[in-house]
This record gives sequence, structure tokens and C-alpha cells, in this order.
Amino acid sequence: MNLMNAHLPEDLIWEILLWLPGRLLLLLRTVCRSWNSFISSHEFVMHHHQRSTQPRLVYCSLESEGMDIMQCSVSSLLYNQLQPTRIDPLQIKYKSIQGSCNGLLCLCEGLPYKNLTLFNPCTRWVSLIVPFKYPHGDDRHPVFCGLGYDALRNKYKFVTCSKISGGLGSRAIVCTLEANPSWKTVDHPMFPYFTWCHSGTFVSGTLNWIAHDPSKNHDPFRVLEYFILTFELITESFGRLRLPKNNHTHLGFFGRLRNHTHRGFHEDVPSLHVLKNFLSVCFHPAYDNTAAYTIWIMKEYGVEKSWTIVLRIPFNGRIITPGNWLEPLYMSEDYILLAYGEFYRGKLLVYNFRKREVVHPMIDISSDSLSIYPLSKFSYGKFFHVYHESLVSYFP
Amino acid sequence: MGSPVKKIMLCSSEKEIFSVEEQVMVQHSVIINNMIEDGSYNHEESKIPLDCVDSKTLKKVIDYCTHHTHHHNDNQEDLEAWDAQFLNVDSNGLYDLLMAANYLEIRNLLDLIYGTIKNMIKGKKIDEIRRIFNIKDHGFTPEEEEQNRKEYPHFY
Repeated sequence: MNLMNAHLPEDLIWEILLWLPGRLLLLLRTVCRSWNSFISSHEFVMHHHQRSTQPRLVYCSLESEGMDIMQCSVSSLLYNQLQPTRIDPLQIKYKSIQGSCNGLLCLCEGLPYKNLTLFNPCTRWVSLIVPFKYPHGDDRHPVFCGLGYDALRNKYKFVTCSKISGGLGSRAIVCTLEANPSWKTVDHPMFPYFTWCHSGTFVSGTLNWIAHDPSKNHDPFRVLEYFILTFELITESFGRLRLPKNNHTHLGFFGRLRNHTHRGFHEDVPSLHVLKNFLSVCFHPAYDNTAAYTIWIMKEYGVEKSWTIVLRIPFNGRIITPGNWLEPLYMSEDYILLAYGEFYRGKLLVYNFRKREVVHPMIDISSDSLSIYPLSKFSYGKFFHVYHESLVSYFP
Repeated sequence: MGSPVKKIMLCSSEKEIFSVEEQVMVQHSVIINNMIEDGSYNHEESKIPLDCVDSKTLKKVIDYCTHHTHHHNDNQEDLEAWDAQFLNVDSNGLYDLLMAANYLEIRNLLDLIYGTIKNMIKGKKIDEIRRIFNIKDHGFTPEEEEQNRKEYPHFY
């Protein structure tokens, strides 16, 4: 079959190629020289990444150092209700994921951390290896970190900070991942904060973590006041953003009491994600009969007035029950949500807002049986990331 | 019974005139929306000449826009089924539609066509893709071609 009797104009070829998944584009570079230079250009690669419709779920396990990082297709989890989703190992010696952006994963070797590298699972491109550095030179102080992209300089940067700030000797250091990588100290925020987050959420050129002010939180019956700690990649500066006003955070006396009895003081911590390309926050349950969870997005990054509710998830029989937490992972264009949570052994679940239906995605058990806690049964003990398949840095 | 539906005239390359609800085209085509908005279209006398769109294609495009305007509340499966039926055309027809949708900047029709082309390409061997896109000269040296063949043997 010959689709095109006449030659297609170049801009239409470009458009068609932008629509195709990364793996196929790798092949299509061999079709002809002009396609090869299209697909290889930085402009195309970045444009394609923004358009990417191939989200993939990747996770590392805490259970043992020897476990491979596993991945699967998010679309398959969301839409293939009848066909089990295959899980594939990443087959790389690095065992933990410290962050992801632009389709690249920042992987780390060893515990305490020894080496960092960037890896593109689509092209299997591996960047140079950078020795991990702890802000204090040793691993006694817990750290949080994140990978981000500096669009001005076209550079990836990795930032790592001591967990407790405002006290003595806390530091933040940043490394630009380039030919001669070096770590440098950055100005640490002056305001006190504490965070449970490990790796930051990258969106709109900024890394984000949920934090709270430890100086205000001595009183066990007081509701913690959370905010978003931000780090802008271009200016390498820290800042803070307010969370949306959400009734769920005002738990009051009984709320905090209940939280202490259940799982320490973690329960009412809002969680941070990127959903539909927006910074998003999910508030955990409280005394509200109308919704189990509310998911907000910040429509315009940095503008606190632009917080908008995109989804309210009601309680749902056996699956979504009061008193448990839920962690969103991905939201499709048509508002179908992939998440995991405490209920039901933390199995993955798909919430379809239109059908008001919650299902557990089917997972191919034969490809999932390597782990002690297979994904088909548990989401316990796993760190999840969603990345969008891209060709980024295939041609360094 | 309310005001009469506002119409606009579209003129195909064969100078055939199609009268369409203004709202239908404004909603879908960026170009027509701009013409109406900036006042360059006069409802009494002017018609919009579409010199690179033939009558057969223009009729299809109007069908598409009309259906999607009046049935946008239909459920997703019905719309998808309609779209699939709509794009059940031969490759020349698809090419003409692509060019027309591109010219009129009809975003959702373009996306639909790209999706169809994507399905045409998936799983095909390199020779078939070159044939589909009418690529006669790939421009690689024999050495480069050999290198590619070695790297992706199942694609050849």
C-alpha cells in the first residue's frame, strides 16, 4: 500500500513522527537520512518528550539489594482490563531510583549510596557515573534528594540535602551532571523545615518536597502545617509554596490521636505528584463523608491561587475504606487514576471517575514472580516512579 | 423558535459551494475561527475559498466537524466507532484528509489521522514503511545501511 502519492511536506512528517513511541522512532531513524536527522535533533527529542504518550511505571524494591528494578506500561495497567500487564526487569546493575525527569531515571548504586548515573530505559543510554556525595561527607545524616533539568543550560542537576534544617550544620549540595561533574554547596533555606519525602517531584523546572516547620510542631495535639519546599533548577535557589486550603488537614484532637495509633504521625501527610503535567497534591482521609480523598492540581506553577480540585474519590465498599492512605501515580487525559494505597495490601488500583469504579489491574504473574512481594499482590516495600518514554540524551 | 442558524460558505477547489453552520466550523477549525473573529469574513457576500481542498474531501471534513459538534456528549465508545468508520478510506483519501485538516488547522481530526498512520506503521518492516511514505532514496551510504541492518536485523 502506498499512502502518499505525493511527498508529504516536512512539517507533517515531523508531526506524524512526534506521535510515535520512542522505541519505534529508534527503528525509524534507519528509514532515511532526513528522518534520521529529524529524530536525532535536540528540538525533536524535547518536543517529542513533551508530547509523549507512553507513561511507564518503574519501581525498585526495598526487600533486597539484589533485586532488579522492574517496569511496566501504565496504559496497559489502565486500559487492558482483560489482558495481564507484563512486568519487565530493567536489567541494570543499579538498584535504586533517586528521581526521574524527561524520561531519564537517576539511578543509584549501593547503600549507603556510592554512585549515581542517568539512564534512559527506552534507548538504554547510560550517562557517565558520578560518585554520590553526602552533604556532610558521611552517611550519618539522613538526606533527601532529587533530579531536575535546567532548561536554560540544557543540563541535568542532582540535589541532595540534609533532612533537618534550621539546626546546626545542615547543608544542601548540587551536582551538574556533565563531563566533569562537581558538587557545590547551595544556599540553604533560612526557614526551618522538615521533610519525610525522599526524592523530589520535578515539574515546571522545579523540584518539590512536602515539608513542615519543626519549630511549630512540638505540641502533639497540634495539626502540622505543611508546605511545599521548592528548588528551582535554573537559579539553584530554594523557596516555599503554600498548599491549597483543605479541610482535611484540620483534623483536630481526634484526628491526630487516631493518626498516632495507626501508623505514627505519617497518615495525614499530603502526598505530592505530577498529574497531567501539573504539580498535584492528594489529601488523605479525614472526617468527611463525601470524599475519601481529594486531588488538587496547581494549574499555574507557583501561583497559589491556581490550586484546583480535579478529583474527589469517594469511599468504595471493600477497596477504598476510611482511615487508609492513597498515593496517586498517574492520571490519564480522561481522568483515570492509577494509584496504590494502604488498603488491600496496597495493591495497585485504577479508579475510573466516569464509571465510578475501582479495579485492581491484572498483572502477568509469570513475569512478576521474581520478587518476594510481587507487584500483583503487594505494593509494600517499593518505591514507584512514573516516567514518560523519551529519546532524551540518546545523542549526548 | 430562536434566531436562524448562522451559516458560512466554503468553496472547494472545484468551485463547488458548501453551506455550513458557522458554529460547527468555528469550533473545529482554527483558521476559520480566526477569519470570523477578525472580521475578514462577510456573512452577506463572501465565501471562503479552499483552493487546495477538493469537494469530496471538503464534504468529509464538514461531516467530521458537524458530527463532533452535535455528538460531543455521546459516550466515548460511540464516538470512537464513528471515527473509525469515518477514516475507513483508501490511502489517497487519507492523504487528502490529512492535508485538508492541516490547512484548516482542525486539531482533533489531525490527531485522529496521526493515530491512524501510527497504526499503519507499527510492526511494519522498513521496506513497507519506505513504500508507505514514498521514500525512494534513503540517502544512506551502503556502509551505513549495512550498519543499520546489523543493529536492527528484525526490521529488515
